[in-house]
Amino acid sequence: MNINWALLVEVLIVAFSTAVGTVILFSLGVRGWSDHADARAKGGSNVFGVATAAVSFALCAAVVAFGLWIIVAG
Amino acid sequence: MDVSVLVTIVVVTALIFDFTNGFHDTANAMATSIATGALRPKTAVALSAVLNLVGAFLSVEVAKTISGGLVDDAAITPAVVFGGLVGAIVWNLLTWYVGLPSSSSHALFGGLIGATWVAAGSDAVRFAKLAEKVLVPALAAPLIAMFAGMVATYLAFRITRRATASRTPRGFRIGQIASASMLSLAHGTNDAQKTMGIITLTMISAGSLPQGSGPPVWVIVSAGAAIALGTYLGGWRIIRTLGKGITDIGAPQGFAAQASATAVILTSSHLGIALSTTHVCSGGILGAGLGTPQAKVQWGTAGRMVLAWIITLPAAGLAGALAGVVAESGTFGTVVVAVVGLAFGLGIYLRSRRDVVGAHNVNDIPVEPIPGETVETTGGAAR
Repeated sequence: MNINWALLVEVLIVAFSTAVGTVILFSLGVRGWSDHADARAKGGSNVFGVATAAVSFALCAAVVAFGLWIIVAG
Repeated sequence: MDVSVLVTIVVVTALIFDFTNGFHDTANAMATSIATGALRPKTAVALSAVLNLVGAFLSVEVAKTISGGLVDDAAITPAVVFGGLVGAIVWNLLTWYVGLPSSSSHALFGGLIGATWVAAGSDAVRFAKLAEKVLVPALAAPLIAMFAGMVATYLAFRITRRATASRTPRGFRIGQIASASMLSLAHGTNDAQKTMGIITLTMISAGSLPQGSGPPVWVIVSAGAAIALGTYLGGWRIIRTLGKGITDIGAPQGFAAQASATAVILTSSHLGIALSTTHVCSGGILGAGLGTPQAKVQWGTAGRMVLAWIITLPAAGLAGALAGVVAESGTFGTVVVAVVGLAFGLGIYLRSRRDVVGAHNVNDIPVEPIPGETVETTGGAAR
């Protein structure tokens, strides 16, 4: 029996960081968007919130695009 | 029996397996989205079905072996494949009836191994390969997804803690739709292709297709359609278990669980380890439950689920062995297996009608069935 531990560890590290990284980004986006929406409700705006949301969601979209590429390219 | 008749039977059986694979695995991609209301039940299964169909066409990497090298291919005859498929279908239907998310791939491997074992002896089964390619990943997959789901959920809660509570779920629900769609697409590419491989290789072994040919268009279309139809019908019983039975899933948990599952599946398949989608998704959901502050995990249900993971391979193996040995005996045996298999499927279906789980009640918390009591349901036609 030849178990490829190195490969398993690689999967663990890559999958874990991708998953946690994407969720952190998305959560930051939700947070920024929510802060901005709060400010808007009071008649103002929250530029930092909008910027955080825009950057975070754009990076999430990039992760999704990479995921699609992996599915299509095998 | 005429070889072409036997091959036809194998093709039909493979498509039936593909169909059960579809409805057994709808839950993997869609259970959490349905549970949090990110998608309405019917919309969720329709979206998943379409993406499974698209996924089936995305890549046609021809399978090189029917069993992925788990058994000696020289020992595989159409009768063995037939027996293995029947074993896998029987196990998929049984676990669906009790609402347990077990791996369709394990059921298939188990069935094929069982059928090969009785037909060609234990020497034809490659146990080292089995441990390396199936058992170790089966152990690792849920753990990795669980760990990622747990940390991701905890962080999602921490980061959005100060955000306005009424706004956050909406954001995470959109994320859920995206991750569920990716999972469905990946599922179509992986699982529909297994069926295409089985059909193509069986036809090659019988001489109906030239050596080394890829799946004909009708095989791609029918395999994609079978898995999509199964997905659309929705394995509501399993969706209910995964969405409501393990832990109380809100939008952040659902998103964290699915993002983790998607990351683990895509990473592992890209790096060359085939993990069970079912194990990964259930592990992610379990992890999301563990990572939620003050969350409760239904360990009884989780325990039954883990038990189902463990016994799927040997149980489907036993069913496959039984079906294989009878089918190997000749035409009469094959007919007997087909009739018994169909009767079993019909029986499970009729029993399931006594306590219908469908789009209308999929989000009810499952109750422990009381033996001998028929549960009254309304709106049974909704399925």
